Amino acid sequence: MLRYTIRRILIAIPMLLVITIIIFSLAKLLPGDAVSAIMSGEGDINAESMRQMRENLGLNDTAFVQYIKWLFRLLTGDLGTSHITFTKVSEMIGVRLGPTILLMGTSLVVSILIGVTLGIISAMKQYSILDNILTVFAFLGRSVPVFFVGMFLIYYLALINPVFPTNGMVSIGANGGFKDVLWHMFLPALSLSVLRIAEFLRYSRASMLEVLNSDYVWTARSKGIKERNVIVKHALRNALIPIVTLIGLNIPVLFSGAMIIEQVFQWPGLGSAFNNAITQRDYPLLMGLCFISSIIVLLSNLVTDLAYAFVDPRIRYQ
Amino acid sequence: MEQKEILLQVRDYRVAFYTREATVYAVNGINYDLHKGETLGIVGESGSGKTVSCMSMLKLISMPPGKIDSGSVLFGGVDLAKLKRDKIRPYRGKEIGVIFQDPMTAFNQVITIGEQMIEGHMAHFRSSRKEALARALSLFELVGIPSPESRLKDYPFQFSGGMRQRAMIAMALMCDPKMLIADEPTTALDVTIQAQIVDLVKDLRKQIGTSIIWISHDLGVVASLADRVMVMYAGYIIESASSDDLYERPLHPYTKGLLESLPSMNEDASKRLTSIGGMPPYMNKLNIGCPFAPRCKHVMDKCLKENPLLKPISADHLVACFLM
Ligand SMILES: Nc1ncnc2c1ncn2[C@@H]1O[C@H](COP(=O)(O)OP(=O)(O)OP(=O)(O)O)[C@@H](O)[C@H]1O
Ligand SMILES: [Mg+2]
Repeated sequence: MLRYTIRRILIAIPMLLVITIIIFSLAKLLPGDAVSAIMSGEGDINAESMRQMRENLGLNDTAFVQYIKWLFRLLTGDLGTSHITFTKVSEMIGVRLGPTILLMGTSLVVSILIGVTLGIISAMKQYSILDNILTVFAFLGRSVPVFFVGMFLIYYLALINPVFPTNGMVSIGANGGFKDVLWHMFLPALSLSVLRIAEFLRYSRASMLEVLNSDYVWTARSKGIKERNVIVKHALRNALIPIVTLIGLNIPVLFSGAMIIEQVFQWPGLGSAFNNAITQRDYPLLMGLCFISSIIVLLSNLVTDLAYAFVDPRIRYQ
Repeated sequence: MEQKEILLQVRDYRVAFYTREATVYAVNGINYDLHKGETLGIVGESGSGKTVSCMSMLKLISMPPGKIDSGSVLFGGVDLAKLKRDKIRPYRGKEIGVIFQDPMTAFNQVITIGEQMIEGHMAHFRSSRKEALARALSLFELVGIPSPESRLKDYPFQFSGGMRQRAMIAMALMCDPKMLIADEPTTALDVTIQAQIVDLVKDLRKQIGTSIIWISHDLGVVASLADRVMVMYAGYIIESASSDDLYERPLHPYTKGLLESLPSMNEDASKRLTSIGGMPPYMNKLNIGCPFAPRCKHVMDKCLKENPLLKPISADHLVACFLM
């Protein structure tokens, strides 16, 4: 397991490097630069001052030099300074990362718990009324976009019946008690979770159904152990193996969903920063955000692979 | 022949699967006895109901769609066919052990062999892990698995096919059952390994004296192992005899066909192997006539109108055919 872990971590390093190149190239390929974005509002700007500004921002260096400079600064944790607000990108991201992780993490845990549990129950009671209802839900849940769920929930649980707040993370004037945050998080987390619940439900149902029919489950029964043990020890354990991978694959999806839902609910996370960075062509911020997102995805892949090896000895011993 | 005590008595046993698409009549009123210490072979083509007839006794088939429609399975004075689902558990593994066909898929790949060996023992005898592991160790030695202690800690995929089937046999013996159901235990193995497993079972039988139902579609394997052989076709037993008798004097056209299609039984090498023409029936309706009639070379009018009953030709040889 240790060797496997080390190998997985070593593989992640070149991937990270490739990601930095991609991020950098993408930012360079976008039309216009920070200077034209800053200046676009003002009437007559002479070419000389624009050139001067580009010089100051280091935009006149060759792409390669710019990349190397950027990479070395990355290594020291310096993500640069925003071209727009002139604050440090690392600080801008720092204050927003927490709320995003909180929202994503909560949604992930909630959707795993609910989705997988319902999927297993659905499989165990195949063709029952409950199973049929859940199957319809899983189908609907997978065919509706995340912002639509958000709007729907706002309409019913905030406008028609004002039970939950729709913006921010804490009440104005409050200093962010646990309950207050939970209350504010309810709608965004729910909107974000619904689709994941549907996804996890569908897959864990299918996985469990497949496993319930496999030979080793009958072998387990043939030994005369309790049905509960047959299910938990033999069926469930195997059914969860593909779910681990599915969860890993869903983390990036959840992240992009969070970026959208944060806008809908004015959640103070990375979502609004992404929006600003793109509309204002704030490339240092955009690159920093992309870099952080990539790290989140890469880390989740790493954790998924390790979890996969942990639950499946065939991977561990290969 | 000495009169031996009957361990298992099956009477008018019927099992069918009621699925949405169709009803499949898998076992259609079979009768037989299994004596103490006896090895009974069941042969027949794929789909003839061998597995279902045996596994359903321990309710090891999906129910629904499977259902025991009639009959009794007397084991130690108890009718297993009438038992509720939750009352069958004490018989599984403890009274009747099961060996499955494919040891690769029959073991749970993510749990160590040792762990899988001991759970039945712990459930039935409320034994501690230590006691159960000691038992597992002694059985690993018995079935000839080298360095048994460390192998108990291995996962199934770390075993070779033959060793895996040895482990499967050891697992079935954990609770010292009175009877074993072996469902084609050598079919998934190489020929040389097959022979080793057959030898192992012969050896074990001598030492332990369990009764065995040995399912196979390979008559050659059954011949060397079984005291008595039953031939199944479309959910019916169509012939039953001591194995010697069956090989020397097969009576049913289907049995004859099976023997002719067997290479090792064919002494004259120049004679071509023949296979039985036609396909086994899909058993979605009960036969009026003989189930084998559509493929039978000797079919008569009567065969299409009436299903022949299994009747004794000699004391120990039964056949269901109007030719006899
Ligand atoms: N779960 C099930 N649902 C529906 N039909 C089934 C089910 N299990 C078995 N059957 C049917 O019952 C019949 C008997 O099957 P069985 O498995 O006993 O055959 P078999 O003689 O063991 O064949 P094989 O040599 O292939 O193992 C077959 O027609 C099969 O299609
Ligand atoms: Mg079978």
